[in-house]
Amino acid sequence: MQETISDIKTKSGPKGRPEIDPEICKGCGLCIPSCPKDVLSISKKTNSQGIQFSEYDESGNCIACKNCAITCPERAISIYKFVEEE
Amino acid sequence: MSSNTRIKEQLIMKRPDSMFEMKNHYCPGCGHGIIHNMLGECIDELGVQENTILVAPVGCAVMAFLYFKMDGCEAPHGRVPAVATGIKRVHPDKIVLAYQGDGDLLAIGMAETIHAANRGENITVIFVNNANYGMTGGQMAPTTLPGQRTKTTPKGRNTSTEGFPIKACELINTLEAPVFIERCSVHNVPNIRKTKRALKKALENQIEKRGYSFVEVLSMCPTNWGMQPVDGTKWLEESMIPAFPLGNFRDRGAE
Ligand SMILES: Cc1ncc(C[n+]2csc(CCOP(=O)(O)OP(=O)(O)O)c2C)c(N)n1
Ligand code: SF4
Ligand code: SF4
Ligand code: SF4
Repeated sequence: MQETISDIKTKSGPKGRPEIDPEICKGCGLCIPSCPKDVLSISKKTNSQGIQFSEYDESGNCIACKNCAITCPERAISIYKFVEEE
Repeated sequence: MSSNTRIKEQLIMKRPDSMFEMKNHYCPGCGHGIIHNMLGECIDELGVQENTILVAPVGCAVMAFLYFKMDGCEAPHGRVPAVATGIKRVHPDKIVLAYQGDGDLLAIGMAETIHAANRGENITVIFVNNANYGMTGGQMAPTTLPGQRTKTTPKGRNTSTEGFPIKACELINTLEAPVFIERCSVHNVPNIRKTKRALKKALENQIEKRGYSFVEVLSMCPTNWGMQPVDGTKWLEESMIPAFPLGNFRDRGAE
């Protein structure tokens, strides 16, 4: 994510991203309707247990609202917020 | 703006520090996991991890203490409040949590539930209401809704032979001693946040030695409800909440 600081200032650039652990995810899908930006979906890929896990679409539209992580019964999701650093 | 300004990634949400980095044994979409996470966050924020003892029930949460970096104890089916009472009286400075399902708390453990509440034990009871016996395969619980199909009510709960759902908060609200009684739900984000606030107040009451707190959480059991997890959240909202209205029944900590 090599966005410029002005992207954040003008609120047009990415605000953050979810990091989903595919091995912890059970593919329940509860995170998907909890996301106001509709950027999560169940992957076609499977983890080592054969479970289709939840995936971020890498669209850059995540606003780091934390809804998905709050909803996830596994807390398979961590949220990173993009902040400016001197 | 200096030219060397960079975007840094700041971790703003992860697994609570008081919980182990591991997969839980609950079914996909089970509400127990959400409730555990909210409890873990409260314990982190209150800084009481080192001082807390979790008493687990018989039911799907039978191994709940495995997930927390805290001391734990397993109680026989229904006896969680009795075991928690014993621990609290011997260790009055520990924070003692009684975590129970609806079969545990309202069926086999009804006597222990009512009397611990009536004595005003300084413990925090977390009551997970998923309208059936989860662990044993979905039999009728005292909280099963009228007409709800379960393994033991295949034609739906018949109120003339099986009675009506027991409303735990309303029942405990008839007693004098409890200081905090609230019913919450984990079917969507706003309600999960409210659940966390209620759990935190219930823990603060115990820390401040105010007395008995009871938090009922309506929780999904998609496996035994025979539903996809997302459908489970809708069923909870449409069917359970009208029967078990959400809200605070008593908050003497705030008085
Ligand atoms: C003395 C005794 N009676 C019965 C059982 C069988 N049993 C195990 S779990 C359970 C009920 C669990 O339901 P609930 O308390 O609602 O918890 P859930 O699994 O739904 O979270 C029963 C009856 C037992 N283990 N011990
Ligand atoms: S943090 Fe919010 S916007 Fe980002 S993926 Fe999760 S729910 Fe969607
Ligand atoms: S809520 Fe958690 S476990 Fe369920 S699909 Fe989303 S990331 Fe996976
Ligand atoms: S049976 Fe129900 S309560 Fe038990 S783990 Fe599965 S979904 Fe959760």
